Amino acid sequence: MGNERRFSAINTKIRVMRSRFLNDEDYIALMEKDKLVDQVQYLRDNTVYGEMLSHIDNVDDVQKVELQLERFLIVQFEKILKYFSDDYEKFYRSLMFRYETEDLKLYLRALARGEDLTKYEKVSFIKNEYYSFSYEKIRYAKSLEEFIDRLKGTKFYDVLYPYRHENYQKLLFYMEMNLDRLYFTALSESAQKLSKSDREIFNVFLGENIDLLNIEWIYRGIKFYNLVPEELINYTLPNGNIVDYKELKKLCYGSIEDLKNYVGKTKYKELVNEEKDLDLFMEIRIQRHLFNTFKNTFKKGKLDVSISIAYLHLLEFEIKDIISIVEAKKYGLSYYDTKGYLVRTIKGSDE
Amino acid sequence: MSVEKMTMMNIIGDIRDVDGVLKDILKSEKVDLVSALKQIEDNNFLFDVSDENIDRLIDLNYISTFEKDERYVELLKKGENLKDILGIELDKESHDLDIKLSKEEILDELNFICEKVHEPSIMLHALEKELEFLDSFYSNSFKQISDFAVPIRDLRDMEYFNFKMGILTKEDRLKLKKNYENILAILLHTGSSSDGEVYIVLYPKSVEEEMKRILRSLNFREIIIPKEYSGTPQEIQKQIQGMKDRLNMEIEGQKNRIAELRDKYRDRVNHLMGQVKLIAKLDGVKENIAFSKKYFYLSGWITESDKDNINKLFDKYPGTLVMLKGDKQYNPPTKLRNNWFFRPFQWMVSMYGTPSYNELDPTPFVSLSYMLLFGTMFGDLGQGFIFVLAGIFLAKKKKMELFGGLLTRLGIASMIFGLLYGAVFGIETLIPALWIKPFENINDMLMIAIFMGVGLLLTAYTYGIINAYKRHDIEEGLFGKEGVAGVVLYITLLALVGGGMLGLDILPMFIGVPIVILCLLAIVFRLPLTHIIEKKRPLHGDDISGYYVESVFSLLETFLSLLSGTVSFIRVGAFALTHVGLFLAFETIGHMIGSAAGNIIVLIVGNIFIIGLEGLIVFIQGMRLQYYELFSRYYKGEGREFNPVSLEK
Repeated sequence: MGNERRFSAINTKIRVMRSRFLNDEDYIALMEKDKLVDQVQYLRDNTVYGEMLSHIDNVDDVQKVELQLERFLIVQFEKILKYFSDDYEKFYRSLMFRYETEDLKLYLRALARGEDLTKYEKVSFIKNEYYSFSYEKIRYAKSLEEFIDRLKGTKFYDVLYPYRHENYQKLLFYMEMNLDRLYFTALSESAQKLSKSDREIFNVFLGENIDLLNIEWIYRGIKFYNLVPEELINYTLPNGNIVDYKELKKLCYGSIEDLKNYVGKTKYKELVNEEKDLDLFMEIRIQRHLFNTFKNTFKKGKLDVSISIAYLHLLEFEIKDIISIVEAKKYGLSYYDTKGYLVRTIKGSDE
Repeated sequence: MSVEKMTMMNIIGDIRDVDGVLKDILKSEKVDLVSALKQIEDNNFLFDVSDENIDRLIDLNYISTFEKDERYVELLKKGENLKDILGIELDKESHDLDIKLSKEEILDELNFICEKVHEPSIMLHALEKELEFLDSFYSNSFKQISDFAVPIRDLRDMEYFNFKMGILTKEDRLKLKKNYENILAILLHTGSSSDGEVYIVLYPKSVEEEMKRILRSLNFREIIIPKEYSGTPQEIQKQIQGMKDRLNMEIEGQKNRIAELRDKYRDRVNHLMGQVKLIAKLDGVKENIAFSKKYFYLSGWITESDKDNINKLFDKYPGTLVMLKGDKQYNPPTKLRNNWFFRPFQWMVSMYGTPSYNELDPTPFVSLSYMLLFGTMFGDLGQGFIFVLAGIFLAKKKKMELFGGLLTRLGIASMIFGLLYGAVFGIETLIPALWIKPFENINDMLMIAIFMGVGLLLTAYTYGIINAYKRHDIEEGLFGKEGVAGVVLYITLLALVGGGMLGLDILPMFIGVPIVILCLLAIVFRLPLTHIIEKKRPLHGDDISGYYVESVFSLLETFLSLLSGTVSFIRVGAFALTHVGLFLAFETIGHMIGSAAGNIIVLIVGNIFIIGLEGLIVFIQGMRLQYYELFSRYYKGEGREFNPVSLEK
């Protein structure tokens, strides 16, 4: 099937979906509201999230509001999925695989804290039908060993298997790293089945994402996690766009200063801009970089896989920003500070 | 050559005889059971009230149905399980038709045998698992380093070094390789397992913690080498081999034990399972039977011709009352009876639907017309002969009697037309044509096809009218577009149009046109006309305007279907031409090749191609003409097939 036939309908639909994104006035209005209740009311009355948010009775609960917002993303995902079949459908499903791993991490953390998993029933992002493991089975697991055993037959089992018998409070970190790696492997595997042009487009997106994540990973690894360089390099993701293995190795065996110097010379130099605290703002800057990439993609608007991927990410960033605004209110951040923590830049913002 | 005459049989008998009666019915394979309760409700169990019968009559007030006993499901499961463990093939022939044991007795005995078999089967399973483990794991782990002369014990005893054995995936192995220079360890590839490659890692004890972390980041899956393995890999291999031999021996022992048990219990299990299946079968059949306190009530369809035989079956059960009610009520099932020549075509008819009891069996007409159509389209003495051979082969060797028989008959038709056309394996010069050479008389061929179609359509109409008469359906039979009005319309139009085309004055316009108009009016007003004849009022249903709108539009459909139905048969002539044309193409290729060998090869390939592909197309086209053009005019196929109960099904 040619791309004209595959994408003409869905890309048109996505343009309509995108036109419902919030605009700057909406963000400013949200930031200016004093209470969560008012913010939610504003979202209900003026935005596309209204319907999702009308399901919650207790709008005082920030967590519930956030969960509903995130679920909106899944709803949009489902709409897009319907337009594809075969390998393309599998590809979009593998993008969704991320939420599955996020849920799994949530459970692992809960297990590490010794909590009952059934309590987390209501906080999962995705619907039962999208799980590749049996949700019913794992939620009654009482221990990590049991939990992992119940994942038998899924991709997760092989990855988590070595940690079955160990003290898992300590190993949570390793398991999460492995799950993330699994997600990226699955994603690039499923992308191999796309048509040649789509595969190339996606690999550029993915490669950029991988570069950014690797830089962040090495920065944090050296600064906070106290890992040996061999571990550091083993947990990096392969197939970045500009930072290849040789460079990664150099960075892993180097210092923070070396890293900053190197990144400063690449197109990712904004990441190590020391005007603001790197520890705090590197993540936001990564997201901002991707945000701009995807915004440009929309401008080009070609009939290929790029529009739908860009839409999903832009939607994710929008939801992230709304959540940031809601959270900022909770912690009493000022209007000005709040703006700094958003992925997008809003008129009058400092950056 | 027809639909067999049926009669409804109702039986009342002593409840103690029920199993015997049922078994006889099952064995006879001649009774199609229906729900007795329904027959009772509809008062079909009527009998003379005499002193002798009064008891039965009173008992009818306590009627109930059979309650299925679910225990036999458990029995079946147990038996199947046993059968699997012991590896017994149940043989169907030896089933004892007498039920001597109760369900409890069977269950007890099966349980007893199960217990006997349980222990060795569990043991065998465990041993096989152990063997599999040894096979897949350790032997693979050490295979690649069989020449490694250092005993594992020495590795364990090292003071400053430690070692680990484990599996790495391909991806992780690559990572390690790229960064090998920075890793304070020696890696040794020792074998491969289903999960990845097996390595031994040797490292200084001082970096133990680091090494652990690095290996973890590589998803290293450690294989713990049990303490009892302490020699060199070669010694360990031997050790493992020894264990495997021992295991194999034990497995053999358990297998022998099971084989002994199998020999001992095979006949018994076979017998028990036969009983269970028979009980299950009887229970299944009993769902149709009604019971009172002392009697059972059974209803079923039998053919008229079988009624004496069936009656005789019940002679041995005194007090059994058999009543035959004929075929007046309800919808009797249809049993087709055709002679050997038509029988394969029954399959084609039943693919479309089973004829109703009061419908004419279309099989003879389908048989003859289908052979005629196929032969016309695919007339070739040699290729037809291939079909005959293939048909005989399928029927004899592959147990596909129906399809094989069909193919044989089509082959014969093809051969007959081959003689008429003078064609053998496509070659038209070997024998003279007895009738016509299609390719040299193209227009005649197409005309013949249309005439053939007209003939078939008229026959189909006749069938349709007879069927309507049998159904007492005046509306469709007299005034319908497939009824008398439709046929008269068709013939008149044929005379008018055909006469005009041929330049003959068959039917003058001033007679023809009024007939056409009369027929059309009859079709439009068919419902009120029917009601007038049947003296029913009101003349129309609720929606008068709706009826006329539909009716007038159906005229359009009538004309269209008459036209398309007739023209449709041109394809018969066209395919006769295609058949020759296709071969001509191959013949030309053969001439172009020039050499005799090439020529022959092309002819063979051409014939295979024509037999395979064109044969299939013609087969399908013939079927299409039958189902679409002909069946739609006369055949409803809404009947239920006569389906007698038997032990097998």
